Amino acid sequence: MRGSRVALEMLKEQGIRTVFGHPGGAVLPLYDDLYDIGIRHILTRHEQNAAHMADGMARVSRKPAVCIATSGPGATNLVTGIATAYMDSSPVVAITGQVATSVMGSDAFQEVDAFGLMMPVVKHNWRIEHSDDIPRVFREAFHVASHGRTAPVHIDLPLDVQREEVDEGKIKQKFVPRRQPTRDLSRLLDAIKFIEEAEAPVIMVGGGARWSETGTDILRLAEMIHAPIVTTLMGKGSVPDDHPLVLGPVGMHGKLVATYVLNNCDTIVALGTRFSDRSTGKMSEFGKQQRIVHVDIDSSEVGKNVKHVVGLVGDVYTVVHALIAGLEQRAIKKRSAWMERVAGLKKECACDFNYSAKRILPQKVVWELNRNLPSDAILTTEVGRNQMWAEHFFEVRGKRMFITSGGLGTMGFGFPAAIGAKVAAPDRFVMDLAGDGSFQMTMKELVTARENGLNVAVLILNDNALGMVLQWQRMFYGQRYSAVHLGRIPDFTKIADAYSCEGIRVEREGEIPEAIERATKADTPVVIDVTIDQDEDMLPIMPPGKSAKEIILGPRCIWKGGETVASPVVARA
Amino acid sequence: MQVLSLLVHDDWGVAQRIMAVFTRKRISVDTILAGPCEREGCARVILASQHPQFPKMLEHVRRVHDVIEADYIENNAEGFALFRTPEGRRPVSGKAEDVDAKVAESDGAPFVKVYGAM
Repeated sequence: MRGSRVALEMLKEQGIRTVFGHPGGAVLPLYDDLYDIGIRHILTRHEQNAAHMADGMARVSRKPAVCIATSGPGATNLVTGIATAYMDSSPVVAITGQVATSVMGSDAFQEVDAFGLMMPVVKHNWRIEHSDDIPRVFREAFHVASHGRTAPVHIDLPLDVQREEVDEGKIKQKFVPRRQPTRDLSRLLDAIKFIEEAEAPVIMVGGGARWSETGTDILRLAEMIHAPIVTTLMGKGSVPDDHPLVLGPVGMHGKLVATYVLNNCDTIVALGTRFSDRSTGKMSEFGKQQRIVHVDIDSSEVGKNVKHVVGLVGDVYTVVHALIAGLEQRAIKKRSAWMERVAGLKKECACDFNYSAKRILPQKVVWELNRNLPSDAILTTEVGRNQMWAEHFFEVRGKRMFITSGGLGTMGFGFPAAIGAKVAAPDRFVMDLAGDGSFQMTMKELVTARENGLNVAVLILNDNALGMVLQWQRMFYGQRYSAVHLGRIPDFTKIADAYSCEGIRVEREGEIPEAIERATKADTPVVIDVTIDQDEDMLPIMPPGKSAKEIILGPRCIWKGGETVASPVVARA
Repeated sequence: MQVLSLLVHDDWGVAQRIMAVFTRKRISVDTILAGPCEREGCARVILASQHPQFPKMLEHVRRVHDVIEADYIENNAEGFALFRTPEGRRPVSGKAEDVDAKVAESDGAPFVKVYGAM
């Protein structure tokens, strides 16, 4: 069997049924074998979107997903998509063709140092020199991608290696992984002591909890120790938003109750979060009055941003179970004063964002999504104000899922990610909440969705601008609107039409529920173009480089500063 | 001066991957010593740096897939310097501090200096 065929057999061995990609000269043998090997290939119109689709699929299935590109521009086009996956710890396997080893390094046609380019944005990558190495490298690549902190990997496969025969013995040879994930629970008793002694504990849930699929057990822990739960952007959806103990997201555009409680508690149990500055605000002022238990699967994250922590290294699922087991035998304080205070603060934050206005308000659109999306819908977002309105107002309850590019913040991610999500969950309704700027970056994949029967919906919050940048220029740059106005071109419904999809224009808020309903029943992809008010800013905001004390509420926020509920808890040093 | 000793798989790009850990965090590495070791397919890499953040990089370096072992070595660095003099090549080796002193004494002669430790 030649190398390219063995490579694809390795994919099948790992359970891969679908790949996303775009052919080219340096992957002709691979594509020749793809023709009849029984793996579904979804042809994209740009390699970046193949990576985003694999990423979306991986985030839903929690298993590695594969994208394929040719050498040179094919590989460079993948880089943005792989970097997106890297920042959010998503297990994407990228396979790039490469020029033959005999001409490598001679600036051959479509040659680029893909191996060097991918290095900073993957957990590890390989450049295969002999076809006999293909079985070991592919098995190792999948092992690295899916064990410990999941992350993208890359394999560079030269043309002559694809054509070369592989020794059968190498395929049969048992694979021994080079390393296994480490665990360090040596400070478990210290963590349990912190939790026992806490007067006002909070559980902070990040993306790691979502990858570990531990929501039920986190709820159990929270109920056990009488602690409310806050999430980061990446942790949103790992616990249901309609549970009484779940307060919502913290961070730059988080809910005031969540940010307030996080900064006024005395103990933080952080599960699978890396304390990104977007979540904490001004790092030098975060966590100074709290005892912090930091649970992360990646030992290099523990103590990286927030230094004074009791660190537990392991996946969230295992560590939460260890904590529950350790705490089960102990008498836990009732903490009713704290629980009452938190419940009161939650009420203080519970605004009714069903805003009616002459120009459609984005909060109203998300309110309608909350009401009208199925209980197992998957919502992806783009980047910008659309993403933040979704983070702040969208309710992830029941079996709903929330997928967003939090780490890299890649505009255009949401639509191809929705397509990839649909491949992983064909029976669920998948929608991308988009901005007009973001959608234009990857809207060409409407044809990919259409011709593969992946009927996702896109709802564009159309403010004819790059809304988040415009807002920052309004707030922090003296309203000097530089290069943010997008105008009324294109007509997105005509774009949908050109791609044989359905386009719906919404200009009055009464039309929103019907548009959503039509999208859930459509047998093509649907683009809903909702004109919203450009002047509506996404608030509240914790401005960059500022702490929670300097949050700007804005005119609609009803938060009273947390003073409406008595009996404050004394902060612990 | 802090010295970090690494045992690594000698695969394509290993040096690039290790240096990237420091480059991206703006931590300057002063000397690099790398070469084969007693294990086949492996190499030892010794890095020395005076940067204050250098001692905090252990877990980051351990995360690199090619790294087998990594540890800081306290207090017993060997120095090696090679001078070009009018008379020819002049090697100098010994304890790191002594080599540093010899280097400080030499006025303007071209040289290269590296630290090693085991």
